[in-house]
Amino acid sequence: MAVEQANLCTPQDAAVVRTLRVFRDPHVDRELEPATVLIIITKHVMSSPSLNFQTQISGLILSLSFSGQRNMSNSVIEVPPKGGFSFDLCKRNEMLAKKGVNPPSFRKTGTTIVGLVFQDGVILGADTRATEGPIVCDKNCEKIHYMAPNIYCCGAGTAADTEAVTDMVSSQLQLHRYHTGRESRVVTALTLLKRHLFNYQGHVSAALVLGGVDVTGPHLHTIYPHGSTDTLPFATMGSGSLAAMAVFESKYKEGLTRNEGIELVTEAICSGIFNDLGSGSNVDVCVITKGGKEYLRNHLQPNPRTYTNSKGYSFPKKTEVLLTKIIPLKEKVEIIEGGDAMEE
Amino acid sequence: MNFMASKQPENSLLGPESDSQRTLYPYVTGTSVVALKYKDGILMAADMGGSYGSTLRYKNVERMKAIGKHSLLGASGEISDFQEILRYLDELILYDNMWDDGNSLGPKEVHNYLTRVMYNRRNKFNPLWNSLVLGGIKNGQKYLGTVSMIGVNFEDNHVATGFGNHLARPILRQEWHENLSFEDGVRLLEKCMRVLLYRDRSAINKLQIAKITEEGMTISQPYSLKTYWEFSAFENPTQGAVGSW
Repeated sequence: MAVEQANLCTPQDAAVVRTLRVFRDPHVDRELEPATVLIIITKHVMSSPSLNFQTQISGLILSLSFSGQRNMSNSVIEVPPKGGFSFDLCKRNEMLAKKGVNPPSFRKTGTTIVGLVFQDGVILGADTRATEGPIVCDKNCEKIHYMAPNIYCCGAGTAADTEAVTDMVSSQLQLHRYHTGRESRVVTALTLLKRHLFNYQGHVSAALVLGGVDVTGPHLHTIYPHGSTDTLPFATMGSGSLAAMAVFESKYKEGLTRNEGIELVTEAICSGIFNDLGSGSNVDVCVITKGGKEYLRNHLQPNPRTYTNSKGYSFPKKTEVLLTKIIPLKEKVEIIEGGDAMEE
Repeated sequence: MNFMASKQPENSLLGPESDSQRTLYPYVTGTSVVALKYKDGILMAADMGGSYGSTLRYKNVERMKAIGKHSLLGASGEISDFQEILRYLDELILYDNMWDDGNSLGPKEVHNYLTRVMYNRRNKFNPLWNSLVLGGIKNGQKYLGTVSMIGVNFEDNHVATGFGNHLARPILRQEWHENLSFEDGVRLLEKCMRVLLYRDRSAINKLQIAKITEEGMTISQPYSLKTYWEFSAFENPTQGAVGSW
């Protein structure tokens, strides 16, 4: 019986439900009869003088649902009828937004990320600016995330989402490596990521460029927040993707060597940095080949601080130091030799 | 409470004038125009497509026209509004010729006129739904400017409208320099138009390039760009990743 699903609006209603629960003896294998409940409620209503209480109780009665079946339900906790992601708060957020209360803006990586397949492997590139609305909150963040020793992933979109999702899949890949005893494949990472993102129907705002080299060869994939993927020889994502794609479309050719590839990737990222407001600062590059990987952090720094005082900044002396005395802390902990502290 | 969706929130101040006369949404649209200054004048490129929503309805729309002796106008956006602008400019040039004083309107003047027209229309909530590119040369002075549908105007060494801003401007910023030769300018414009053809869904492979110099305006015959689709990496991209796409 679904006494628990009563719509609680006031403490008085809670008192009624508590009374009902007391009546439901857990040791007796029997459910409360609907009639019993009505009697209890009526008694409460009669004894209470306030009209308010009565109208609320009538509301309570309306929302009580009596199921014909008699099944043993021990759970008192309210669970959603179906499992999975609960979208209840979305309605409330919509209502608040209509009244002008907007949620805080996410820390996004308004970004330029690119990937390129060349002769022996994959080159990934990214800019390093993280924005919070119109403000640059991190001038030198890392957008190329580690997935496996042979797989790296660039992330655009909400920073928390890209970090969390790549971290999670990276851990899953490691467990899988232990389980199988083999090097991870890029398609594994791809499937894990796209399953997760599709499950959340685009609410996990992560747009990724996944690249790596495994036994089957070099691979490059793009993954969109709703869970669709593309397999491409060159790809760009993020707000600066059009600027970077313009460079790729005009300068890509077959059979690129490693240095040519790095140069093309750097040029594409620079195009994003200088033509898109959401991207900026430095260029990160990651080259993955069969032999191994090379993570070139801040490979290019085209935006250094222009006017820096060579003498540095001398903070004005405010208070005079009269005396400097160092007293070493007395050790209160005795170090026991040998023996594992955890051993019982 | 009135729940009916009212289509006249901003028109309430204007009384009985209905919206039958205002451009609320564009219907037949042209896509980007790209232009740059070169040694002898201005080079401008635009394709010949007029899209009706997502259909490619008209494939022979000339979106670039000469204005007077010294200017060249290219437009993207609503084609009917572009034709209206051409009528306004026709009248302007006609009146200028009637003065018969040996003086003629240069590109700077025409650009200013267009800015005023576009901004005033926008203030009346009845915009001409176009992004215009105005280029020309008069007395050795090259001029290249742009006006948007809300009246934003500026002049620069290279301009683009619509998607061209995102795809062509980065290329132009990197590769444009003073005193480009005619061939180099055309090559650069073609590079931009090719990227637009690859990545803009409303672009078609039939374009014209117009040039304006002291001698006058010439506009090329429509031609198409060579595109390359044979990269081996695109032939079977999911070879190694069976099951993905």
